[in-house]
Amino acid sequence: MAERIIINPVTRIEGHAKISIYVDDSDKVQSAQFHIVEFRGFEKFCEGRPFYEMPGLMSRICGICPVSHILASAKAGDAILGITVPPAAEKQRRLMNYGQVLQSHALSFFHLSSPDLLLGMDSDPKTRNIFGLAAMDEDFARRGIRLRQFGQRIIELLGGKRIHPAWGAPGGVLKVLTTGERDEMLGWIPEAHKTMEIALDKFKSILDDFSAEISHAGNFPSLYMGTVNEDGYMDFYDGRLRFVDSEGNIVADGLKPWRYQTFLAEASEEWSFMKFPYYKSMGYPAGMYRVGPLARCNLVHATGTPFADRELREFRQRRWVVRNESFLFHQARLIEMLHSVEKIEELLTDPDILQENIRGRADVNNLTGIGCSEAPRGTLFHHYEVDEDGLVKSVNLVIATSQNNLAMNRAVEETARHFVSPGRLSEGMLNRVEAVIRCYDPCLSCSTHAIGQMPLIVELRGPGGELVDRLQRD
Amino acid sequence: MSTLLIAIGNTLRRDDGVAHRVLEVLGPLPDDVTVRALMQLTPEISEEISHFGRILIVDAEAAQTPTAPGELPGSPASAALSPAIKPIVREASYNAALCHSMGAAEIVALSRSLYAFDGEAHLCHIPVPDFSEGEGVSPDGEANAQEAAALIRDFLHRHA
Repeated sequence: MAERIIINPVTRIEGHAKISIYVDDSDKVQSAQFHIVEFRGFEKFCEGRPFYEMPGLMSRICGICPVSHILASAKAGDAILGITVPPAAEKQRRLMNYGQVLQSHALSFFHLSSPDLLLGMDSDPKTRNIFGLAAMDEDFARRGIRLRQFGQRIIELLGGKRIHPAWGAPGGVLKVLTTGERDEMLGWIPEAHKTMEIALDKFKSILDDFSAEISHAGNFPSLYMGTVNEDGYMDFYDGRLRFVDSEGNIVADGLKPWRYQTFLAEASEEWSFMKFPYYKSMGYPAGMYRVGPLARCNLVHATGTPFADRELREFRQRRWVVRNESFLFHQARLIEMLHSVEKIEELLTDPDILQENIRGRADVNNLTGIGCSEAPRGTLFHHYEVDEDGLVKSVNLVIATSQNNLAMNRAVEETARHFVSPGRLSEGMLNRVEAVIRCYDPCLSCSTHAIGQMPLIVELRGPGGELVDRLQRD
Repeated sequence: MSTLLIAIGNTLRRDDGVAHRVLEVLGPLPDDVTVRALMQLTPEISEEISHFGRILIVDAEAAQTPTAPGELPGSPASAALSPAIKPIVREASYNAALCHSMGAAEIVALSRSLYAFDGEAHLCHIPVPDFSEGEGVSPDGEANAQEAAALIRDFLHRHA
């Protein structure tokens, strides 16, 4: 009779996700599911609001990536107005997006994943955390904190506050950047650049210690989707969408983001509140694709900045052009952080960034607005339908984390099959299952005031539902 | 002694933002008190903490009084507990699972570990009943916000 193992993280306010691992009669992992048990309803309660309020409302979706929602929302508003934003506004938007990528990726890499990477997947869970990291390498831990501070400071200086800035608007942005603010940001660049050099060197030096995880924790072929500019370079703010397959062949290119419904579709499963987007022409679930750092590094011609391009070449040369290993999301994330530092410097030294014309104005010219940008976790779509007064009639959000939903489930299943032996459960086995989810950095704790601890409970139940084994990590 | 007063909470989850309400009703503070209003504690604040001699974190806490038969846990009637200020003494360990924020004990421990913070650390916890979506605190939350503000004023003046 089949058994089920449940990994159920719990937070103070509401449960967000759990992992179920199903075991067959022969004591082997049969399948696994990554459930999202959180329901937000944002799309519904925005109906009836004026479209120009949407960037402010949408920034409240998430405490980690509010900027991504502001940008996609403001771009949807631009489309409703039917205007092109002034150069200073576009460059400020790009700048804030890079600040967002930097702070979000720094949180993921330095605070959440580095303990696994530097202390080991099987190390004592009591010290496999930021304190253990600090004890092992104080300078590295401090640098991680400072790097995230830099990203947050960019957001704060542009938008007035670090979380949920009321700054983006249809037609542009709401605040002129001053010379003093620009100079303060520029002052952070050398330290940020050095931190990225250290982090990349450190990560590459430990890769050989994780050969099993690289090979067996979520290493599978899939499509990849992301935004590229007209030269095929990495672009987090605007461009066309590209799909490549697991061997690097371009499956589709030059796709207009505002036509996303012609090439993307969403499926639902009864065991999860999160949708399952897929590439329409390949059907469900064969049309599984991945977005985010790994996807972007797999599909761009180059990043377009010298230091990040050097790292990207190395990333690709280690095996083949396309890297299918979920573990390498970490390395891709580091490359994107380095790229962001370089682009931040480039934008700050562009005189346009200080111009005072920051917002274009118009009436409602289109009843549909679709905005798209690259969030830290992948491509993000905001789709609004409005009436002639600009009141929102319907909202559809296609979130990066949900686009990785199929892949995360596949990764959990493959990792469980390889690393989990129900007859002799260990914390290290289950940590690997969690760790493969962390590779994708799913944003599940959005806009709640979480306590910062997620006890891990694993229950192994027998045919009659009796408790056979139980593990708990506080 | 310089003091950093940190209010944390999500003002879109009603009483979860009660610490922000405390700041609104607190009134004038001694000159050596610096105030920060945050949605949540993240590791970046650990550096700033180290520049102060004392830290006081103000946070909401789910009211956990025994419930009467037929009463739902966390319903307004169950919010009978009062705010209190207590030293943060626990040696915290931080479980880096899938979460994006830290608790008060964890952030203080991190500041001691990474930035040699050697000052006093206190937590003012405010029991509140309503963590639903929406702005504004509940009547019980408002009463406890007023009480917490009085406690904090007294605390700051006694320790000035």
